[in-house]
Amino acid sequence: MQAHMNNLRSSVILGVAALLATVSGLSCYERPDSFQPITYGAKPWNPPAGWDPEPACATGYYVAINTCEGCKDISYALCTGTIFTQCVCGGPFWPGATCPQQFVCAADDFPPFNWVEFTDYAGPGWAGLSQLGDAGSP
Amino acid sequence: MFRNSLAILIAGSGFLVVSPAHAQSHDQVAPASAEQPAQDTTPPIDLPARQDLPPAPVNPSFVRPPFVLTAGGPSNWKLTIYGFAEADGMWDSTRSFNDGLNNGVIAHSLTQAYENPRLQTTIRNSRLGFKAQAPAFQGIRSTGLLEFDLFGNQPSINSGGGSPGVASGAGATTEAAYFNNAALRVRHAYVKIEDNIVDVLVGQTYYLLGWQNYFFGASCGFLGLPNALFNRTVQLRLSHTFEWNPVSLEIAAGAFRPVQRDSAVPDAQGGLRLAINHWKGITTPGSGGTDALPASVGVSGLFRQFKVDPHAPLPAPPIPLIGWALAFNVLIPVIPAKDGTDRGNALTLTGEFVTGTGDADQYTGMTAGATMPNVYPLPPDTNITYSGVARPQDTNGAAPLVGLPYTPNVDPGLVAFDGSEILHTINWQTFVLGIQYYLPPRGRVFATLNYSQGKSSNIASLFHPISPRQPWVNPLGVFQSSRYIDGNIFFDLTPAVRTGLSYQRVEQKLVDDTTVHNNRFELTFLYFL
Repeated sequence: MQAHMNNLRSSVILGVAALLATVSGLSCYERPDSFQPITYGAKPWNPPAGWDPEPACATGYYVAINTCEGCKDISYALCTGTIFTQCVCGGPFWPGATCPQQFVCAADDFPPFNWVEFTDYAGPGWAGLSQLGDAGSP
Repeated sequence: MFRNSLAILIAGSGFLVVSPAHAQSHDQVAPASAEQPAQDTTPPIDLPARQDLPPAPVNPSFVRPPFVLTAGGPSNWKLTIYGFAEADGMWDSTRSFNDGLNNGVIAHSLTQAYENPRLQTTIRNSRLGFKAQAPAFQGIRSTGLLEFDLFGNQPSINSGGGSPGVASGAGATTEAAYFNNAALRVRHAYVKIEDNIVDVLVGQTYYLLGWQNYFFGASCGFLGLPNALFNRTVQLRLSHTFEWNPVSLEIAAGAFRPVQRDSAVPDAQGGLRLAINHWKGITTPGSGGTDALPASVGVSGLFRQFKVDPHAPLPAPPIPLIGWALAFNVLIPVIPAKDGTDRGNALTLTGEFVTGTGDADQYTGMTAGATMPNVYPLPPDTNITYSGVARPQDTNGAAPLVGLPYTPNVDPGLVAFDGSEILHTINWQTFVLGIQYYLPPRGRVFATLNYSQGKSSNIASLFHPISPRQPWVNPLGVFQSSRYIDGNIFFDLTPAVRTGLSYQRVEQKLVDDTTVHNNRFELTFLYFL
């Protein structure tokens, strides 16, 4: 009887341990194929018709846009791999930051930290082609 | 009766059914040798110390009494010294490997290393261990164990044909220093506390996945064999064995060192192992530690998390991914034995099947050549040399990171970025089959065979040279599948001296669809303390 109780107790202990281990892992679980933001606040983005930056971009480059959902004024299309697939709203100034080419920036219009402007593109979708807010020519 | 007819036994798969009964009959003759305390099975096989003397050994000549130092009045404080001195010589048809094959990458067929052979001699697999046992205190038994070999961290060898993925340079050493001045490495270091309710192991020993080292095959080759689970790490493991004669069930779960410390959560492993206690087979995990173990089936699993910095300007949110693995293992005493000395005409099969993702570290030296980026993404139109070096760029904007060194925060071989900078775990599926036959009359000579196979379903797409802006991708040095076979003959010259001769062949399919192979002949000598 004592042995049976011991076995029962050990089963409970091990069961709880296994449960805790599983839960601790699952609590952080995200689907492997879920969206992977390339910077804080980045969202999926589909380019507008006629969007065709040349040459192919590289991760770390942005183009100033005004079509990122949920953003006001300047936002940024972000290159992942060789194409622009994500966007992010303009953020606050950080030391060393510069405004996108030809734009006038407000205090919350700056590109993400350490990203570089893709200066070769000024076609459809580029914020400089519109006159919204404080985006556009100086 | 049928122990004298190997052919009949091998041919009849139905023998698997009658074998337990056969073994049971032996146990009735020598019941004292049939039972092993549950506490002796964690790790599953005692590390290769000398076994305790069986009460009535079938072949006493195999018995090597343990080197035990005792202290205290009743001499119940014990220190067991164990290990072996080993000398190996191995000839390879290519210059791809050091002394252990493990899961290294074979040089591409277009290279000097592939076209020329290599001969190495080594004592690095020698081993020394200390096991301390204190007297039981209020029902609690405790053990401390330290074990070392000579595979300590050393620089790469900067001579010869070189190995793929290993650059020569200032951090390298000479062949002479590498083999003659072998450095100490810790294998096991743990404390084990046992009572009748639960066993607790804290420290470094084998992973639980695959119930290592219970199901290891026998080979002169240094474990882990290609495509076979084999590794150790720090862990906190809880286990208990339910003894229901004639079967026992061991259940274990634990928290293990996270595969990536930046994930900030431990790996979790758990498993069940069912043993048929009176149906024992002779098995040798590697080249030493021959013993009789019960027929057993094991299932075990691994669950872990990654949080990898994106291959993009930082700061950025780490990418969370899940890694997991599921392993099935079996040990079948086709021709069973009564105890660890009853080796003549004993035949044992071992098997392992594993499927998982982000689990390459569970295999020895397994990266398959899958490197992580070493530079930030390169600017458009970057000129890249043949060796993958980008010309520095002048870029607009503040603090550009493109082309600068990127330091991944995860070990190679586990995850990889695709051409769109999406991170994936690398999938692997492997299986291993092993046969061990101990020749009559006494089993001083035994022959073993191992076959293994491994395949990744996504590594070829992740490392195919599709983008000139991924200079870290070396499709000439990444394999997508691997096959391995070995054949070994061992001879126990004396109870303490064993020699072995081995042929080992590895064949790999690289991600550029080239198939390469390496043939190895190995001679080994061991003296067991």
